[in-house]
Amino acid sequence: MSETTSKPTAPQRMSLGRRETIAGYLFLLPNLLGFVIFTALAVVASAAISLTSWDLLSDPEFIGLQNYIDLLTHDPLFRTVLWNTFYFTVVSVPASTVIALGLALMFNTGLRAIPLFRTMYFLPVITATVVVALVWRWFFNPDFGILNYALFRLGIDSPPNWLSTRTWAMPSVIILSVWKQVGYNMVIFLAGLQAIPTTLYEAASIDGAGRWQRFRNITLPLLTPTTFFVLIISIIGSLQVFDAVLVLTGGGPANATRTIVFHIWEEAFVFLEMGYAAAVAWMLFIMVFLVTALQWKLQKRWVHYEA
Amino acid sequence: MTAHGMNRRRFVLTGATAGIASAGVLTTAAAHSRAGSSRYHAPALLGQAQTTVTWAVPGNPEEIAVYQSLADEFMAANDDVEVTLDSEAADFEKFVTLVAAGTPPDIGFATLYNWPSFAERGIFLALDSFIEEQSYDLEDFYEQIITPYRYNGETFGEGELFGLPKEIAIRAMYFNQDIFEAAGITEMPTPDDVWDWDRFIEMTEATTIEEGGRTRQYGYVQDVRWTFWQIWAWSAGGDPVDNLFNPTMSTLDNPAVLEGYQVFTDFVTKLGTAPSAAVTADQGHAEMFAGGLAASYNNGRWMVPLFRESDFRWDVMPMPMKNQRAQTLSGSMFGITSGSQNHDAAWRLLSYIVGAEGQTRMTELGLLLPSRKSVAESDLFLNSAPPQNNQIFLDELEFAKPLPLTPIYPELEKVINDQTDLVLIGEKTAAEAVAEMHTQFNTLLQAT
Repeated sequence: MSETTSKPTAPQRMSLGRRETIAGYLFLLPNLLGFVIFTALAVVASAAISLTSWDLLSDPEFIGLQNYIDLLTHDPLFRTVLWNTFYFTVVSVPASTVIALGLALMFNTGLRAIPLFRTMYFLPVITATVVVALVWRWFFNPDFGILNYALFRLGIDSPPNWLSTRTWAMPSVIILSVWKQVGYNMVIFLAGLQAIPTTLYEAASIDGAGRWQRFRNITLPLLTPTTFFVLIISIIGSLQVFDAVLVLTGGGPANATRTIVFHIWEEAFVFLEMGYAAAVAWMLFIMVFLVTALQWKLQKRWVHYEA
Repeated sequence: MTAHGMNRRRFVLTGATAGIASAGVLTTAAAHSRAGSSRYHAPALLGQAQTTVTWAVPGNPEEIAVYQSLADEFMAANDDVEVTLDSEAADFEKFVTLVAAGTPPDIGFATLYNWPSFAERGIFLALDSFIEEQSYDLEDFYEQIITPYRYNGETFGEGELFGLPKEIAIRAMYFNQDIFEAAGITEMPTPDDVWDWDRFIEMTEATTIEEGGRTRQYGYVQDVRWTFWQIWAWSAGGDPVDNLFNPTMSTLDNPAVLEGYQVFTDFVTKLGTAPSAAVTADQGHAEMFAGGLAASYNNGRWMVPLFRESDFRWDVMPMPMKNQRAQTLSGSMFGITSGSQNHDAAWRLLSYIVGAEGQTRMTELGLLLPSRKSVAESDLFLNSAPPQNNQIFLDELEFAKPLPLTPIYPELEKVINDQTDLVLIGEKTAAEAVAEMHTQFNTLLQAT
């Protein structure tokens, strides 16, 4: 350690505030550098690429907004992928949120075995999607899969051909994704639940509030910031669903599970249409931005930050 | 909680959300611009005039071990060259990204149907000057698998040569002798006995076993991709396009195409003697045959190592025919990338690895049909049983034609996959699907 730093009263030193500011930026620097190099630059580059026709291997050709015009007017698949992504999001987000909340409430107790259950429900989150999807393909097998076996035992004579019909392929992807996502949301909800002061429940009990009233008037309102967070990250995640689709169905059958990011990936790395893929990526960004902005705006009506 | 706490919490949520929104969405974009690894420019070691040559190697660990041993032998004989294997660089996406980053492997890998899009973009170097200079002998390679790697800037099959074939991919009909016998098929197929479609269909019906409303054993299991059904269309006499080496328009409206496509899809949709996509999606086609759940299976030579592990007797027979024998040609090649800094060293390595020694070593693994006559027509290939009838793979080569060689092959294949999906799930008839393929083919071919 140098002599100056060991003498806090040395003259001509920077003010404390200034030093703290510099230290702050230094702490930020590693992350900031990564962000600038791998994200910010790529974002700017992708905007530029989206205005070109580029196969990655030849020189890009500037074509203005043609990619955007094409995808909005000429690409029949773009509408399909929008619908599929919307379908996935509208079902999977509420499902994973509600189930996660239920689990969190169930596990927000002091019972001994609870950490074990929490771990079990969290395991899918940290398991690679590719591995999970491969296993689920077996679960979904119409003849030998465990899912149809269970349905059959429950008295359903002709359980669905999960992955090979257009009706059931997307629900299959949703089931897998909810199963995988729910543990993460559960942990966030648990953290939210534990931040609620027990004194409120005690006071409510003394006033004669029942379980349901306590849940309705204490837990739910005080959990709204957590719910808001869960909703935002789930929606953003859902709009970008990709690896589950790739492994489980490959976007099929007949494009029934083709989502936006799958479309981007195939256009970019199978057909080598980088410009077009970048344009689709920007459409996705705009969608995510709008949805998130809307949620941000609406939160004033239902999110309570008082605790 | 205090007002201050409130704000901080809100701030954290805002930051986290905004971060996820921007970082997450654009990962795809970030992946585009990620540069290749720097190991392609390993500096020469102290004083040594070493040239490093990187070689994109495809395949499973056994194949890569063979490639490594070839590389070791090459280095022993050429001490000025250091060879580095890169198995990821043989992957299409990775290879394209490396080329785009300006750091391609010196020796690249291409399948026959990836190759046209590389050809159009000048990714591979013409080998003719090396071949002339060294009087390199191409005679030992089968002409059928050399020709498609020629390109004159407009049409394939003519002009300079851009790759040397590492193998030929030909499909034969594998059959389970135990199941055939159990079904009372007394005359086992032989190389000279080419079954017609009717006889093959009868066999699939005789060997399909249902139990309690479920099929326990199938007569036939098939991969449903274009490479497979085109064999049936060709056998009826239907080409997919006007010129396989330079397609300009679709000829899928030729009734013979539909005839072949119809019979192919009927196995699943009408006869029920081949499993639906629902069954094969999870089980895998090859695994069903290897597990003894199917009497016959159409696929390439590379299935042999897997089937050798099975506990039933099996062999191969020629593809069943209608009006003529037919076969789809596939394969893959190694070539020198234009972006390589070491063309001479790369040529030395390339000419060595596709040599008879290397092909012999790969043939010992059992999984390929060599592109060299001297290896393919040797006892090593012909007498490595099972299958007993290895000669069939060589016979089939005589009838083999490539699918259309065009940079838009992936797009054409997607059209076919989408339509075939619809047929196999019963939402379209074979006729409707082929008509739609015809229309979409013409749209795509006219746009290029």
